[in-house]
Amino acid sequence: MGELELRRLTVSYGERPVVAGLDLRVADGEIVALLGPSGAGKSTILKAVAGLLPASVGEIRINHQLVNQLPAERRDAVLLFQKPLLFPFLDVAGNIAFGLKMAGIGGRQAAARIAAIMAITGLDGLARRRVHQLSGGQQQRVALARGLVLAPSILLLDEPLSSLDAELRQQMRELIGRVQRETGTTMLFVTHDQSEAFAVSDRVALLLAGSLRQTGSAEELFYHPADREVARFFGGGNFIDGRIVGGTFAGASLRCPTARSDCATATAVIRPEELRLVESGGDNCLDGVVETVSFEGANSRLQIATAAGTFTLLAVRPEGRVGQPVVLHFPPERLHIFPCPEGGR
Amino acid sequence: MRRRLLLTAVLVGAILPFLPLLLWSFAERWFYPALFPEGWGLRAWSYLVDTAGRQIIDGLVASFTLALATTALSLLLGIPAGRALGLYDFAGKRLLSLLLLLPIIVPPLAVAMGLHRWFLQLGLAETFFGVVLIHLSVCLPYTIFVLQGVFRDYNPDFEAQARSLGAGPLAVFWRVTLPLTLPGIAVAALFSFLLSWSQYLSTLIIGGGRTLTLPILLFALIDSGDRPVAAAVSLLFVLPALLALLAGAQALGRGNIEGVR
Repeated sequence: MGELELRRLTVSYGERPVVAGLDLRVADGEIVALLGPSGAGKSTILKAVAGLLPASVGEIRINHQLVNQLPAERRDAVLLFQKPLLFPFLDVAGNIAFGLKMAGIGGRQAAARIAAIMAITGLDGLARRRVHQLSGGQQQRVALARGLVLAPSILLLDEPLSSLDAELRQQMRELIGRVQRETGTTMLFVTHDQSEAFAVSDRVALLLAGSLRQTGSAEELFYHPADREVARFFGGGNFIDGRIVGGTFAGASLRCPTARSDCATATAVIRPEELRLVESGGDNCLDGVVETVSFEGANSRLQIATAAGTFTLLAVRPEGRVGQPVVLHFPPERLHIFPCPEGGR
Repeated sequence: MRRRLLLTAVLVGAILPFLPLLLWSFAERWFYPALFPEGWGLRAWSYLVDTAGRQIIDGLVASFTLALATTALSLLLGIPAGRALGLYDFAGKRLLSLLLLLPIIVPPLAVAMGLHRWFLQLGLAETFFGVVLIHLSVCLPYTIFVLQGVFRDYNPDFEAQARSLGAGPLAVFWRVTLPLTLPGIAVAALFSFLLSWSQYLSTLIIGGGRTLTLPILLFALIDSGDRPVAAAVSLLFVLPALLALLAGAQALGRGNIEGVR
């Protein structure tokens, strides 16, 4: 049982607010990814929830109980740092037992809980190992076990995968998912890697420059960004300015139906991989010239200049060459139209 | 080959200076230009044990309690100071570091003489605590200097992690900070102990002859011109320092310096 609620949370370093007016709810048993570029204030939020940084304004509630004044050691939330931070003077079992010892739990009860959590995290047989004898992945798993063994209401994870190499990261991702299903622990999980956020979480909250920009499912954020910055964060910067009249968006000779109401300054966005190069012009097409082609492996990135601006296209195969005239097709069902900005009606 | 050379150099450098002392302490007659004593005996050692036994034991106790008290206070003040200087940046940090080293830059005689006046006014002169304080003026700068280095490479996230796992401030100190910094703290304690142990001038000035530590007795014996006895006391004087050094090396050898990068 664990529920976390942040209301208008503001955290400052000195005078400067790092995170401002944050509202976020993590439901019981849910795993929410807090996604954002480095320096967006993600870790600051986790530290505030864990009680390691004071909240200057707002409320932090764990299981509906206000915990702002509760010191870190008495909060029912455990923070796992980016580095495993295992105590080098204790062995694996000693590290996992640390929190239990602090809670005054020892003897057979503690041993049983430690054994159970070591089985879940795949650490069987390593109890007496010194921590410096462990691999990076094992260390991270000990750190996870050390938090989980306390059965906290909320487990806060600060980029737990970023110090691991690609293969270990994949294993750890799966482990976190499995542990979450098996223990039902509520988790708030910070990352700057969108694929990590999408793969591990039930919901994603996007944090840009200290404020929460959009919260929702991975698909929602990816295909229906709330504004230009969110779209840009997910690599979709193809904007078309236009207007909405009578249920139709019109801009730069493109037209597409929309459920949104009339708006004088509307903006549509389309993901680079949804754009198509076609043989001849027609509806929802723009003439353009290829400006740059860069081969990136799985796909190729083309910059195409048109009368309505420059658009980025991701193609599976490197097609076209620089200077080649092309016709760009915008499938209308792939256009996403942002909510009308304030005063844009 | 190179290792053996190093070992020889260490042994020669560390042991050889003690050889004359050892010879002197067992010498009955040893006059110039004889290379070795002409008569051997246990007079010096029996003097040490019988005649001056009481005095020597008192001296040992005085030196030991002083060094222990000084080391304890030195760590008590030095750990927070070293931590602040090592971990955080603040205005005036360089100036503060310099001021802290001042007592060991200024000649110790000047420090002791200057403080003596002041200690007289405060009623600290010729008291145990007064002598501890004057020893502290020498030991504390070194302690802070060593601990500053320790904490410069220390990762305080370990403490944050411990707190998040349910450890209160006291438990964090005893179960996390201390074990992580133990090698460095052992070095600082050793420095402090040995410095206090070998203080002569400051003990004499502030103690005013009432605090009779081993070095004070040693100087008195050397003054009296009885070289065999002085040599025997010197060896006795070195022994605890040597033991402390070995104990310190032991604590260091245990070194798990993971928290200290």
